[in-house]
Amino acid sequence: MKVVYPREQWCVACNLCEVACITEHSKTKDPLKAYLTEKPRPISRTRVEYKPPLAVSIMCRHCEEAECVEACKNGTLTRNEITGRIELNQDKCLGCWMCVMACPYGVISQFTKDDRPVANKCDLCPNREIPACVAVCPNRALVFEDRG
Amino acid sequence: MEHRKYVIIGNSYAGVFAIEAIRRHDKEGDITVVSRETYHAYARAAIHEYMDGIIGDSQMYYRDRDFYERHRVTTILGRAVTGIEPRENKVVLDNRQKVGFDRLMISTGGIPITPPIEGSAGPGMFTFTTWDDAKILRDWVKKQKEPRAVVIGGGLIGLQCAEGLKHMGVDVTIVELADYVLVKALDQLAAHRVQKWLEKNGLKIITGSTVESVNRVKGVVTGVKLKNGEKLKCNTVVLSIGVRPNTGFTEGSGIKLSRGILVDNGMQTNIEGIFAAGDVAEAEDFLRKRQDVIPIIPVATMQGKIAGSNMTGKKRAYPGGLPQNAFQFFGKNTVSIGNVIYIDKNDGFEEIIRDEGDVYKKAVLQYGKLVGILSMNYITRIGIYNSIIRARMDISGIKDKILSDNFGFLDLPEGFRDEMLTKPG
Ligand SMILES: Cc1cc2nc3c(=O)[nH]c(=O)nc-3n(C[C@H](O)[C@H](O)[C@H](O)COP(=O)(O)OP(=O)(O)OC[C@H]3O[C@@H](n4cnc5c(N)ncnc54)[C@H](O)[C@@H]3O)c2cc1C
Ligand code: SF4
Ligand code: SF4
Repeated sequence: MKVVYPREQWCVACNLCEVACITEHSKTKDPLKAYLTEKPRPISRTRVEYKPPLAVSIMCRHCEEAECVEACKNGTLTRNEITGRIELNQDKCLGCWMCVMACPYGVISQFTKDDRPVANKCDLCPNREIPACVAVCPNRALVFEDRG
Repeated sequence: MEHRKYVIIGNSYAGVFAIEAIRRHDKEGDITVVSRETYHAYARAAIHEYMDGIIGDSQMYYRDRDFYERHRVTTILGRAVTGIEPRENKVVLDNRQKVGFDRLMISTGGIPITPPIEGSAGPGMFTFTTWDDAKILRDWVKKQKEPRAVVIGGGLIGLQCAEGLKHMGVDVTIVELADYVLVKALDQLAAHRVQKWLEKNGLKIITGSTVESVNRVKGVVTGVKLKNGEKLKCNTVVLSIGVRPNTGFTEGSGIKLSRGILVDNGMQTNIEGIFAAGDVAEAEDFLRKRQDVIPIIPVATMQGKIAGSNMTGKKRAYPGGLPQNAFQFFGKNTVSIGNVIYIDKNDGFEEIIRDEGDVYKKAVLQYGKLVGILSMNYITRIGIYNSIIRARMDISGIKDKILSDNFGFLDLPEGFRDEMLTKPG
């Protein structure tokens, strides 16, 4: 299945992917409003690591054998049998952070929704053909590919 | 493929993953799941949050309501297995009904350890490992005019139960035999901090002692007496000193036990065609390279998955279990992975500690390889350490960075990073 892969050698840590992710997952779809007025303020589901000269943007791999799914206490995390994507149902989430502990890529973050702690991670932008981070990256340092 | 009959005993984390694995590889075979409890698969590890009303029914069910139909599973719920007849390939139920199998998986979990305590028989005494336990305890506590509970055992389940009771307005005292709480997951320093935090939130904790007898007046619990002579007033006693593998019904079957049901690295018992997974099974421990019971969700699900695959004839090996847990009390988070307690300087162990204000982090290395991580109040990206432990990678060169808050893939060798980031997960 197609997921987002970073190409480390091309990343310049411009953080545009993070901004695009926040915007895509905001209510207003406007980066400024999303940052300044939305409550809770959306957080990016990809994270740019920057240790000059190296930089890389990392998000969920939608693993074949997802350890987050195996660790989840109550089935909030599941594999979509049709798309293969690993989905996270925030309405169900307990905020127990078993998934944060288990994910070998460290890509599940802690978030607050309706005053409840919930897990947050990349959903591959279900409403778009190409995820927002990939589309925005000026250096093609993120690619959307099926590497089987 | 021959038409197989699969029977799974236990309808929880391990059982569900076995069903999913079987159906991935075998679309035709018959699957039957038997469970003593009457419920559709549910989140056992969240019963404390159900008890105090933080979560409702919709958050308790582990899979969708149509899970069994979609996976074409026959369910026998509310029936216990009382025996196994391996020569006949049958399990016997508590109504004497027999169910035949070609492949069997035992995932009956653990049952609470209940040592004989004087006066413990009768109302007011509870264990806390099932959804029904949580409902019964909640209803009982709500009936008490001045609910006062003593929780025996300061392990994870005991403390979670205690927090749940506290949220319900119960006056709670925890009695722990060891010198500190959470002895299996934390070192002394971390445990003391958790303990202080619990106390600050109104729980009372007594360590280094245990309950000797439960006092009753006309059958009604009035208090407990501790080994150290101390007396505590209460009307509710929760026994939570641990669980042991639930293996009683295997007696006479020839299935080999140690602490739990012994399984090989395909999750098969000594009897061909009979598998075991989860809290009932004793399988390889990844770090110590010996058999042990590791009673946690990620181990139960992974074992269930491996057992299920192997039951269909697909050959999969279990990579070994790694103890780990994430827990929070009154909003503060702790994660403990691997070995954070046993440290023998003569055997290559070394510990790195960062202790700054609220945050306490500790890494344990053995001969340069990460074997344990403990982190309080900062758990961002903590799963990365899981993959480092699994990779058995020498990290002595990056020791000074390992506990920094922005530690990440760029601190790790390029080969490892490539392996992780450029290949499918
Ligand atoms: C309050 C609480 C909090 C917990 N918190 C955590 C946590 O934060 N993280 C974590 O990793 N783990 C936690 N655990 C442990 C976790 O719940 C177990 O590791 C997990 O439930 C094991 O799953 P299992 O499938 O092996 O068996 P179980 O969940 O124990 O299920 C056993 C199944 O077998 C059935 N059964 C038993 N005997 C029979 C019989 N004779 N015949 C037929 N059916 C039978 C039962 O009805 C049940 O369906 C917690 C447990 C509790 C109780
Ligand atoms: S959250 Fe982590 S473990 Fe889960 S699918 Fe994504 S990368 Fe894999
Ligand atoms: S935090 Fe939510 S998604 Fe993560 S393991 Fe807990 S319930 Fe599942």
